[in-house]
Amino acid sequence: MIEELERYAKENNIPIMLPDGIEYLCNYIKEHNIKNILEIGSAIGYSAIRMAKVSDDIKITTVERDIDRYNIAVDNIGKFNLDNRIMIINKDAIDVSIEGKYDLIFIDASKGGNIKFFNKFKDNLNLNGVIITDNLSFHGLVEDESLIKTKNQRGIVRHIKEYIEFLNNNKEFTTTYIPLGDTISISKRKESKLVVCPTTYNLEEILKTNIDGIIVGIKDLSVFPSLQVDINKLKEIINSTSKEIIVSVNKMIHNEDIPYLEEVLMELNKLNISKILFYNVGVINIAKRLGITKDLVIMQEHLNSSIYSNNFYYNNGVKGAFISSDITKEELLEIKNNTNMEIMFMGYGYLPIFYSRRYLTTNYFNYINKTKKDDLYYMRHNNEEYPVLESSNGSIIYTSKPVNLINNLDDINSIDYIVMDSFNIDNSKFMNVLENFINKTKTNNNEYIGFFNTKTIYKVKNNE
Amino acid sequence: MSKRIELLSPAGNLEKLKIAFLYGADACYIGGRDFSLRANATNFSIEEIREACTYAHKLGKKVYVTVNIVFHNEDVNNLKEYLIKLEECNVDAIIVSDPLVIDVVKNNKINIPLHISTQISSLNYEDVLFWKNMGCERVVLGRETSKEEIKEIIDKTGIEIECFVHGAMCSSYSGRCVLSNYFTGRDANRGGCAQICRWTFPLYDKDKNKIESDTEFTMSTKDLSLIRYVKDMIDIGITSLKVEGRMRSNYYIATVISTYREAIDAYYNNNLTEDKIEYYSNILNRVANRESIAQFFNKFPEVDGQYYLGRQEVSNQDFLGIVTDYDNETHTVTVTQKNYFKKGIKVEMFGPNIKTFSFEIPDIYDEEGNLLEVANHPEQTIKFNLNHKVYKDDIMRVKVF
Repeated sequence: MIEELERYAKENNIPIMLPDGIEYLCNYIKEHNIKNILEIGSAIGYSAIRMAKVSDDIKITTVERDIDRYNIAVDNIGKFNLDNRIMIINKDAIDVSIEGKYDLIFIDASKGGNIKFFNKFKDNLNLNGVIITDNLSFHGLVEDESLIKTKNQRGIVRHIKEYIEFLNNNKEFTTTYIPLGDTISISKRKESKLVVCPTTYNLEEILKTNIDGIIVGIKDLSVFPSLQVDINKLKEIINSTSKEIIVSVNKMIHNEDIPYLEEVLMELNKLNISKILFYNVGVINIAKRLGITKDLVIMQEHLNSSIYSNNFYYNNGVKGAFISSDITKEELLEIKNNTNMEIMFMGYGYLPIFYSRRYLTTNYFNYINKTKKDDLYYMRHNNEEYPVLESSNGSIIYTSKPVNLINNLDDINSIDYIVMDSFNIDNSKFMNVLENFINKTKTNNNEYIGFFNTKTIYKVKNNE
Repeated sequence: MSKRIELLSPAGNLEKLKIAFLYGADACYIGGRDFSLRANATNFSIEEIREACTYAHKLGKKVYVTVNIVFHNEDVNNLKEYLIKLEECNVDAIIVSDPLVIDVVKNNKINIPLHISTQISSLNYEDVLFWKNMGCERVVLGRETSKEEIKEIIDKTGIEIECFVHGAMCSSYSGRCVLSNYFTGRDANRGGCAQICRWTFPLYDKDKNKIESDTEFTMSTKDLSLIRYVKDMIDIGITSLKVEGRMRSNYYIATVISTYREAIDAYYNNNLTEDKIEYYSNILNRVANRESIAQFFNKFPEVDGQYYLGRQEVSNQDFLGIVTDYDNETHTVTVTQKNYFKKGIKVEMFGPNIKTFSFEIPDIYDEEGNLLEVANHPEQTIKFNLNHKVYKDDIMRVKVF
């Protein structure tokens, strides 16, 4: 019966998938246990029928705008008794509104519509779903334009090339190309890397988990994260792991810090680390002068909050940005989508919200004539306790509770790095949260998410 | 001889700008209605900015406009048009903290010099060189720098350096504090700062035991005053001395600016004596509502830099009146009352065109010529006899030193 469909298509000049292409697609569906499929472009229903026949519990929605083809497809689906598993819609895909989520979206329609269809239906894709597109080669014409014979062909080749460029530059999806049939593309949502800021006591334990990397501060040159080491200790850490190591020199740099900073940057340049986090833009200047080739990542917690500021830094040699925690999800994604910056964002941890050069708790204990016993105290307001941490670099005040974006990770999977900071978190609790982040296990709690969904206000009255 | 140091005054509105210039400022910095921190001050419309520039330039003085918020994507709309308008107003520079403004200025060939705001917390020569390489004309240093650091920065960068000389301090490195955002939802870096660092808090140790004391913990610092270091600041080559306080009163501006004007001029005239410094310092302390010290300029501030008196601030009633007229024939002065005074008290008169002098209040009269016991109605018109010529806008204050 399938052969009949193939013969019919051939006789009537209706394009259907090439044999090894449809073979690959059906195998993919089987191997990945795909159950819900949305197809754009049914033609005579051939591929929908083939896909449905992979397993009895597969359901397909397919869209066809051409009324004649639609009628033939309806007929064919009936012949295979698949009416209850294949729903076919006679509309232009651009006008159709699809509800629900799919494991696979298969685009095989007008080539000029690929980008529009991709952008329109990606919201119907399950988190781990894929978008598969057929005809990325167009019978070899895309690779070898000398084979193009008609104006129509030239137009189609141009559309396909635009689509390939769109896929290659997509911030949200990574695409692989399968050189089977007429070449198939498989686009999956990008996954954020997970990096952790350890402390001295949980470093080894954290390196054993399934994370992508860690952030380590350089002693006397950083205020984040709390694990701060000298170059020798850093070398030890690098030798003990294959994970990505990101190094921070983000303290407020004063003149007297510069010679040591230069020395450290030269050392870091030789080591197997991936990035250098900094706050002060003087670091850009020094790195340029010393020919530092490691990626620089600007980490100004509360500045650098727009697309344009990031473009400024990118154009001046900065490759990444650890973005301010005071902006909304929408603003964050806009920055990701409109810059070339590699973006890092705090997924879990206390946020620093104040950093003074002064020794605020030392001063306070002097004033009240008592003895300061620790570096960490808490100031209380409205039953919330805000950590106040003093070090040789000054005093930092943190949020009263850690932000926890575990239930929001799906929204920001295009962000390159999700950072977790274990500062001030009980270790067993942190390891639990870390496991949730690794496995993307959502919680039922109403987690604290800072300004992720809330805009800050700044004009409390109108001046006009 | 190198250029004289600039005295840079805040101006919250046109009236304050005129007072600041009258009392000796070389330049004023002002905020427009958009893109400026202090989002809740009155601020200047474009027409007012134009008027401010025209007024200043006639006097050979300068106007800098703050465009110093940290931008979010949505804030960028209309920035270009706004900057073009500022260019048309002939503003002498804009003060920026978000580098995207530099790109907008360059990409649109807008001809306005750029000053880097203290919000960036520029604290070292490499940082200053970065901004110099970006084409900026001046950097306002972070307030955490010492005299030696400032000097090294000036020597190694060779661009204009501006430093705060007087006024309130951020307790945090500027720009690295968002307490306001997290305590009140108001965005500190977009002009909504609610000054949480002035609040007090009970402190607990890490086992959550309360630290018992009558005085609560605070980040709050004393204000900055470098009146004793004007000489040093001129000597190390600072370009501009900046006074903080776009929200301050006319009286505050007049007093602080005239005091620093006198100190600077005295130093250039080789007669800035210890006695004078002592006197200026007393005047400045009197007009302030909080204590002030030199902060990071001369040494690292310890407990002496903090302010533990909570939010109680002294309300100052030294500002007695402002001159509206002087009749040369009858030697009658007309003043608008600002604070309580009466016959017999010792007062002094100061102003841009007179040398400060003191006298005892004689019989005072109201507008209709009725003899008054006391002047106790704000904005009341008061007349009395004064055998010393004074001018409109001269200020009468309590004689305390």
